[in-house]
Amino acid sequence: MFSLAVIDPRVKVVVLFLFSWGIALSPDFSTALSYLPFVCLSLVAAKGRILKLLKLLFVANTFLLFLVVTMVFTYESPRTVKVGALSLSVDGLVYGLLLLLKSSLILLLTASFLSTSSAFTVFHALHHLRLPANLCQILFFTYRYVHTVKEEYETMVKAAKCRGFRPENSVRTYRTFANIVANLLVKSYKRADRVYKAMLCRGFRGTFPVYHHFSLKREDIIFVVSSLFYFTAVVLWKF
Amino acid sequence: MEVLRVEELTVRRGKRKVLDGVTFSLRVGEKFIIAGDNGAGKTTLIETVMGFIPAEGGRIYLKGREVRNEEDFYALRTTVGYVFQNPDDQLFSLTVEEELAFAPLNLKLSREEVERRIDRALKAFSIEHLREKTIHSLSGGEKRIVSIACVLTMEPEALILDEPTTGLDRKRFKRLVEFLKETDKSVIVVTHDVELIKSLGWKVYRLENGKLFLLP
Repeated sequence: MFSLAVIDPRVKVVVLFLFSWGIALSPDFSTALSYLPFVCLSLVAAKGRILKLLKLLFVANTFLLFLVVTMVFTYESPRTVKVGALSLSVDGLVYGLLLLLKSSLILLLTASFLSTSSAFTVFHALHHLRLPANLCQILFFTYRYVHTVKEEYETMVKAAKCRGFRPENSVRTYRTFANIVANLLVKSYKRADRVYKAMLCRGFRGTFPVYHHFSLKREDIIFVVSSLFYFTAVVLWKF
Repeated sequence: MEVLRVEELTVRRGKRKVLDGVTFSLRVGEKFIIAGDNGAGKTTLIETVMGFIPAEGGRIYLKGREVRNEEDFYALRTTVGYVFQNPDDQLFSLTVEEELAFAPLNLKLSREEVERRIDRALKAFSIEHLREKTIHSLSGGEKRIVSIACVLTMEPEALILDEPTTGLDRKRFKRLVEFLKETDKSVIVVTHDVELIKSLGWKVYRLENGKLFLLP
């Protein structure tokens, strides 16, 4: 069965960008919903990760729901419903729900596409797609050093706990965490400086060399052509 | 013939002279140790030689030619491989293989040559099994060995190793000592590890109060 994991990350990034752009520009529910079958197929092709992706969607939507509620109370429109002293905007609710739908579709598509490639291969693909080198390097180093920074943070918290520190709702606790974060920032700055020196020591001259390269396969071509076909069909049908 | 020569190197931090007229030379195939207590200025000395800390005075020569600007330091850094004290500062790629490929790719070598150098560096320390591993999954000792291997893929003429035994177990310590003794490259080991100094049995310089002395 077809799996998104075998598709070239460059192709996935391009198709993802195209569909995200299409979904984001959908003016109404029916246009946005016409992308739903493609999103569902992507979820199936992400294989075994559906539950994880739906959990992610649930977390993201809890934030988006606040936005919908805010729009219901703040969006100015002639169609309103009076509930006691409150005036609720019907158009606000409609736009809020459309926004929720579009965000959910883009989020699910992004998650199903990108979860089937390692973070590094995605950055690598962005590099191949001629994204600014500095941006790719920042993304790459952020990902590379997240583990190290996390370990340092945990070590500092352990060290504090070993000296009787118990986090509680007090000024002292906040001050302790502020010190830990400040230390992390200073350490990260110093580490960045040393890493840069280490790179210079191995012939770095501003361009990060790439060791593994991608090559387009038959599946990639089929995937990109069928995705483009679907996208064009939606555009022609709806616009 | 001298690979590296340092003359009257002086570095000041505030009012304190961290390095005070340090002079030494490293000839082809020569190996020695620079020892000193913590905070004696060993790492400062090496970082000044590599062009990371500006010197107040003194001169650095690479193969008889004075190192003056960034371009000269680029040549120095690719001729003299520097292994950092903390491997986490040195290992910034995602996998061991990519880490080892970084220097030869910067030197614009062919794919085959890069592969050959990676294989050779992995074999030198018998760490072929680590090739596909991610850096953050390595143990402290493995990171240390990989940090040395990734400098070797540059095939420098000389090596400077800053505290290379930190975090090594007995087996890896022995392998490192064997490698340092066997290699035909010029080597400077910066350390305060007495066991390493004894195991290598090389000429020892001591850095104290900013001055470098040759120990008898």
